[in-house]
Amino acid sequence: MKINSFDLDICSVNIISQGGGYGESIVIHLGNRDFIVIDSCVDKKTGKALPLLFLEENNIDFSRVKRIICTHWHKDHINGMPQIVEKCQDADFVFARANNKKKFYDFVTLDSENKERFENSTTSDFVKCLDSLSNKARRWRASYDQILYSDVYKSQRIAISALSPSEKVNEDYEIELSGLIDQASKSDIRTPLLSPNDKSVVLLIEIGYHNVLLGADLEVKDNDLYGWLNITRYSNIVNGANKSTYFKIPHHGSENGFHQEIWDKLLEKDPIASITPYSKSSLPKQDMLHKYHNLTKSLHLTSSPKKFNRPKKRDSQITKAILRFNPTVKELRKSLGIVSHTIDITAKNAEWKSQHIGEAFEISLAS
Amino acid sequence: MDSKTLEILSVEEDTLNESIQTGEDYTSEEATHNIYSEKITDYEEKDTTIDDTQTHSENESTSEKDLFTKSGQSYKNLSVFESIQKWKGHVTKVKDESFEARLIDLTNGGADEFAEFSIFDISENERESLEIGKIFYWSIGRKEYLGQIEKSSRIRFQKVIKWDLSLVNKVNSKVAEYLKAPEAN
Repeated sequence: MKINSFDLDICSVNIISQGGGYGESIVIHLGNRDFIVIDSCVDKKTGKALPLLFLEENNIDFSRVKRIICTHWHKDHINGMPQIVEKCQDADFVFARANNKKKFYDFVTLDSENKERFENSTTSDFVKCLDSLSNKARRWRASYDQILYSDVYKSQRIAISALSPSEKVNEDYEIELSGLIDQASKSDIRTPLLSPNDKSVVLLIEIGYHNVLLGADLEVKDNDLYGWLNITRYSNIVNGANKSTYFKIPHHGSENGFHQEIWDKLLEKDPIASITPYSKSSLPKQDMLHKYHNLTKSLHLTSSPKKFNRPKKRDSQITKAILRFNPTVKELRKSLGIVSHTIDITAKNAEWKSQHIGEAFEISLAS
Repeated sequence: MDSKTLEILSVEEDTLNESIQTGEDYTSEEATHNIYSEKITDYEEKDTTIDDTQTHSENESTSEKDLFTKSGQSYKNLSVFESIQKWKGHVTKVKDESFEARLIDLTNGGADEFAEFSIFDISENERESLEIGKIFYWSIGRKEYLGQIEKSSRIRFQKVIKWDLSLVNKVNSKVAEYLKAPEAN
């Protein structure tokens, strides 16, 4: 996981993913040895949080991590996050806003306590994060048009802004929480959130002359009070002057994360883009890959989107027994890949440079 | 006859076994309503914490042994299930006649798996309450019955556990702490 050195003037965006729904995370160097960690996933063998491993292997001082951001509560985005919170004690913790704090904390704590007896649920990961926060770490409840971090480095503005969830999503969530508290009383079910992707925190990272748009898992909805259209039509933070040259494409490159308005209003022409595939669902599909490829200067994937349709390797007797009772059992293959991009913060005409680790690659499609 | 045996142990059956084991006289229906008892919570935790293969199979065989003893039969001819592979799964999709699930390998760890199960492999009660997120345990193994060994598969859905007062107090106290913690906005 060792990548190029972190020079003070160089911003780097490192997307770490394991394919098939095991998770994804982004570690960003904001310049001046300041970092943020967005989401988390773990090494399935060791259980260690991969962004933490990344920081360690690149000799990064944990105290330089300024924000730990949880874009939403899918297991593939929060797994291992308590380890990061525990190590990076100077970092503030950011998560999607719920208007009613009391109700929100009631729900996550109840659900976590109940599920903790049986499994490591997303709420128990979240509560462990809250429990691990140091006294000096603050909590940010991220919502649309909110600045989560700002600094100046060599006269260049460094800022992180949340562009979602929308006000309407926040209102709906308050109603939903009452029902969720009831659901949390059941230990036999993984408590489902309604449209968890709607609650995703999309981030705009402004680093000197260059901007990065991180799409989380936000989807496009018909109603522009929700999802991407709420950003493209109503955000006061995004404007013609801060279009991004780098885009982490939302929701594993699925069709429901695409709308032309995103590309017209939020992104420079021909940006660099990255996708974290979800091989269990064969995302992204071929037609979307073509579409994204045509819209970008270069398109990078952390692993292959191809579904791995083979059984897991086991003792032959056990394999036979499994086949006898259920021949549909297939392995969800892990495929660790890191897409790393760097750019000089202080140079206006600088270009993004890419590096691929593990199963990551730049896509090349026949036209 | 195909020796393939699919045993489905429902909440009621499990609870009934437990009630017999503890000497209580429950009907199946009563047992269902009494699954909140602390005693059964303990049993559930043992039964579903199946990192330890030996413990799990001992629980299962003990339960069946006592069931037979209670009914006055010798337990020489008992069916004893020995698991060779276990998973913990949660339902990801419910279809008309099947459901899909993601499986965590409790025997060897490593990569997760996914599979589709026929709804006819689970009891009618379980079918009715089948929904996305439902947690279950799936074991395959060998079963000895009347001196014969046959391969066997078991699916057990996790039971609802009742909260007790200490848990509610713990939650309230944690929430109070969270509300006092420093916030940026």
